Amino acid sequence: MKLPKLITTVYAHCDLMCGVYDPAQARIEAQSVYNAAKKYADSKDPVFKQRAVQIKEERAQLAKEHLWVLWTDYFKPEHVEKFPQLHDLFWRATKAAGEAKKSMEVTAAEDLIKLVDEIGGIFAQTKPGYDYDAVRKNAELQAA
Amino acid sequence: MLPTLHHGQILLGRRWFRPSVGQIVVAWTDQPLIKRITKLDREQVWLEGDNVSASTDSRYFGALPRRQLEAVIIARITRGR
Repeated sequence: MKLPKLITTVYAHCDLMCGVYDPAQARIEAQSVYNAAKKYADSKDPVFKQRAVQIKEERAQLAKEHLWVLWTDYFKPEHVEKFPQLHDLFWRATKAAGEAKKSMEVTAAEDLIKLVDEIGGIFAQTKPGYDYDAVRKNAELQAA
Repeated sequence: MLPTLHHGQILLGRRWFRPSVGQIVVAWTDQPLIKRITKLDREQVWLEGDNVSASTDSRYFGALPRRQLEAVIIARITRGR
């Protein structure tokens, strides 16, 4: 017996008290990566281009981190059973975030967006009432 | 353990009990953990949280020895928040 006291606090031990997980975070950052790459390509101002590179790298790193949180904290074994491609998809998405971080090519950002959208679609299927289409449309409204 | 249990809720437990599937129990891990028994055999129990999508439980740390069960919840005194 280890409980030390008659009255003691016990823990449900969730990573977050009813954790809030949302692929919108990764999607917004992926859109920022795309916009930064596009604005870089469209600009002739070397200072602006320098800033675009830096901001793109920051947002790509954030996209990676948001993906990791979803992968390691939100998705559970029963999700992988239903969507066996999940681990591979996250591996490819985080690799795409890394590629988008290194490269100024707009296509790298587009690849990242595509994979985040795929994850968002799966997430929506695991959370009744969650509308990933709205997330995607909101991000696209702000496309450069 | 949402929606069954809420943060700050006061519960009444009993230390001596016969474990059975469906019971909400306190188990000792690195801290007193409250989960529901979903499977058990003569030596081990499998614990899961009711908040399936956000619970860290036996799906991660595996089955626990029955001797780590500390108490069964027999009543809820307050609702919590």
